[in-house]
Amino acid sequence: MDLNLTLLGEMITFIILILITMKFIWPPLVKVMEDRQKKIADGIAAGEQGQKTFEFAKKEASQLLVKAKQDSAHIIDQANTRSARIIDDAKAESRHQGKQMIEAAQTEIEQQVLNAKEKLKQNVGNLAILAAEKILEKNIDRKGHEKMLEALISTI
Amino acid sequence: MSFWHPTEGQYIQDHLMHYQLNLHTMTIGNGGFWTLNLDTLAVSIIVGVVFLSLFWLAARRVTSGVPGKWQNFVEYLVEFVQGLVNSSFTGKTTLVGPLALTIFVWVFLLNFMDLVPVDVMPAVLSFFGIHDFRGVPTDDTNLTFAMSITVFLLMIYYNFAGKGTLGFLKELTCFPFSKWLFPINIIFRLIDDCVKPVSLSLRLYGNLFAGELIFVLIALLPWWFQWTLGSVWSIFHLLIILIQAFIFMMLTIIYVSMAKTSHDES
Repeated sequence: MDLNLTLLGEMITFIILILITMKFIWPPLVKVMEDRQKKIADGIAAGEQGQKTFEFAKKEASQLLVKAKQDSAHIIDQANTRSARIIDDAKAESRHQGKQMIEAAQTEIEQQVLNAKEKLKQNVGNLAILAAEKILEKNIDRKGHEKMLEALISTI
Repeated sequence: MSFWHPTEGQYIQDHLMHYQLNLHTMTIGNGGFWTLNLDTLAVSIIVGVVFLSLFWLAARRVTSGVPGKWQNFVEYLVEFVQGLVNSSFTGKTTLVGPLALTIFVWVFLLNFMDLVPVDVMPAVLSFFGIHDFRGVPTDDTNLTFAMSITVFLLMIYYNFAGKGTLGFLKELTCFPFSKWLFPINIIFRLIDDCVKPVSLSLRLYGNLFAGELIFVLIALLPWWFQWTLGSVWSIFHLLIILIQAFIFMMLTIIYVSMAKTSHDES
């Protein structure tokens, strides 16, 4: 172990090595490593953000689906009630019309019966007059016996 | 045993000799203090250049997108070192991270030279007329002390930068005992701080010197037996050189951060 001037030479060599490492080797490597760290952190953050957005969208979609189902059920309900009402209405209308028609027919029948009765009365009157003429063999003045005739007819 | 070494003692001694340049006479040989260990300097500078160019390759084509294999490895190292620095160094620093990375990789690569078979480098270089070439720079106290003294200077810098001159002086005189015992405090502090670089450098040197010496001794075994102990020691030594590089880096980080934080805060 003998120390000599090599010591100084090695010190200079060592210091030069340190300086070059400090200037040209360490900074770019550290910088790039930090950049990559940041990149990866950003990527992870973006991934998490995407996941969040995806979950939000999923939730929203399921909410929309539920709402759509509710809406469709509602619409179907409405349609059902409406169709039931329409059918009911139509039934009521048809019943009403049928009743009206029946009523009209009845009134007509009654009218015709009345008419027939009227005619019959007249015919009976006439027949009575004819029969009386035959019996009396002379003309009966219709005018003169009007009152009696009417009374007679009304009794029929 | 190589053919140009007559005895085993000579063989070991030749392996422990540095290839030195005497600056007085500008000839190969030992000239006291004015001597350069050419083998240590050459290998450490070449390894340093290899380290810088490999890492520069990664730093130049670096991308924050998908990294390549080499970039991945370098980034892993940087992140590892950065984690260690952040866990013990308080406050922001642009120096300690690169310092720790340089120490770790450079020391590991220098230690790795120990795994090159002991006779390869001397044998190859002997064709060029270079004898007594020691291929492991961390076997040389000049290198380990150069590193630890640089770290020591940084510790002094951080002592002033982290606490201010007054704070440093206060800590120097009033810790661990009260201010009335300040001579003892100063002596304590002096020992405490001076032991750090010495132990830092001698630990690395001792481990690598022992490892190299054992490799040399294994090389003295008969050729058909060398592979047994040689492979076992190589595997074990691979662990040691990594651990020594890690220890040197870790202690540097700790010493520097200890120098920066004052005792009041902690």
